Amino acid sequence: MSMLSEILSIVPDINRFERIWKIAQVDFKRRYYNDRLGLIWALLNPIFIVLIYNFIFTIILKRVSEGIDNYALFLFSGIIIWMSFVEMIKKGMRIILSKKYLILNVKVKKEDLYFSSSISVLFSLIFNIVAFLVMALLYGFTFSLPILFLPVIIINVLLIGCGLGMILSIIFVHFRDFTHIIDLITMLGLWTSGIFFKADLILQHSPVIYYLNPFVGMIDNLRRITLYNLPPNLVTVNLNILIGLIIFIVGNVIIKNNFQSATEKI
Amino acid sequence: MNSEIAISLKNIYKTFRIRTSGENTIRERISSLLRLKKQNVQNIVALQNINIEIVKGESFGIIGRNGSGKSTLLNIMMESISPDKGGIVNTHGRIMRLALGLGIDPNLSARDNIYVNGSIIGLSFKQIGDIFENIIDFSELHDFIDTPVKFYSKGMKQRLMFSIAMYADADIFLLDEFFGGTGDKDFRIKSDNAFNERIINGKTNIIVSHSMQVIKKHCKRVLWLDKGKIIELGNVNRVTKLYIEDVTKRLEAK
Repeated sequence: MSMLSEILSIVPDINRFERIWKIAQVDFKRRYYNDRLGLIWALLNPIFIVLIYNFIFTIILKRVSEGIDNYALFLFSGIIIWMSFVEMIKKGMRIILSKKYLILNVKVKKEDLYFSSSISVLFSLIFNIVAFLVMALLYGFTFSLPILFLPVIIINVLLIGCGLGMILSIIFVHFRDFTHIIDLITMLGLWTSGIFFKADLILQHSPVIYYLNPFVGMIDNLRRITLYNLPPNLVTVNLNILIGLIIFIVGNVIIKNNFQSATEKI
Repeated sequence: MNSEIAISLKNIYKTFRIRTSGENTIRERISSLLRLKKQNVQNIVALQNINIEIVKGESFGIIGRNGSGKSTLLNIMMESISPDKGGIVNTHGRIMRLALGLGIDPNLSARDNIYVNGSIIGLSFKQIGDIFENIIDFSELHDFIDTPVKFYSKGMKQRLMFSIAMYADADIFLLDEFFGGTGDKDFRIKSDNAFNERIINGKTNIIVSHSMQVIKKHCKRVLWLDKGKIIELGNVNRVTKLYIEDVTKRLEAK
């Protein structure tokens, strides 16, 4: 009997994967299938933002885009990573509210709710990355071995977004106006993540931001493996994975200790 | 022989800390800090010294006035909130709370709601696929499977919730003012029968109700809560009689 249960515990819990998958799928559906344009919105949103910034930085403030070929593509790669991250933390932050109907009704593993929510955002990120790669091909880019590194970047975004969402969801319960602060922080992040300029520029002017803001490295590495056909920068890769793991583990610990008391407050 | 424990609660206390001044915002906290005003924290004792064991297959009733701690007790059994330090909650089996409107996401279709609910209580997709037709047949919602639930009428929502509960096959049901007999007459008769057959018989039930009729009909053992304390625990006839006497006494005193 005890041996049997020991063996069973080694086999991964398939039901659990199914469950996380289902909630993610349903979340994604709810976001994109409720209106006519559906999934097109997932693509239109970053494209509009790229058009706006592209206009500003190639026509009005030309100096920013000097020395960067195909600036629109360059922007697109940064925008999709950053926007997915922002959506992940904003969804994660509100999870206790939005999933209250489940939390009170059935016994649910709390971490699963966060995993699902982040994975549902991941669907649209992957969709956008595919669109980005197709556009790059149309522009005449070719990819080789470095592109295999893509999943590592995606997982890195997931670790940071999911972990931070966990932490924020607990803060949100205690400080409901924290959303305003998040807006400020995401604004700050938008301009310090190397979305609009090359990572080298940030390294020159402010090495602290270069090493501590993982998005500088992640976006730079995405560009290296797709637009420049270079291997990723191993220093930032390792550092970012480490930062991601730390945030993710801290998030899990915080959830473990505070989730129940947080549900009481909602 | 038949005394396997489904839920055991030991030494359960629950205190809510409620701040009486203002909301949970940074602005509030800072302003109260600057004014150097003492935070008005009020401790509300919701449950005190609750020790119960509920046996597998039992229908266990919980009665008491509004605010006596019934819902808090259910939340603790669900483990959606935790008791104060020292309290021990043990549940064995899949547990599902049935209350009208709970557990259904209005933005999702009936299909997605069935899959999400089933999956969370621990069924595999294959198992859910097997009972899916039964649920839809029972609820008679064939034409609206993929319509978001927010467009359903109240009766249709009740039928969906009820049908999920009928087939979801949880081991323990927490029934929070939730009974058979919803909808039109045909459906009411059908659901009454199914309710007695599939939920009351053979499953462990914790029934919370203000209706002594319902409690007497389904339960053998009843817990009477008042202000978070156990007033009486025992045979249904004795406890409900005492409870009704207490209520009439209160009314006369007014």
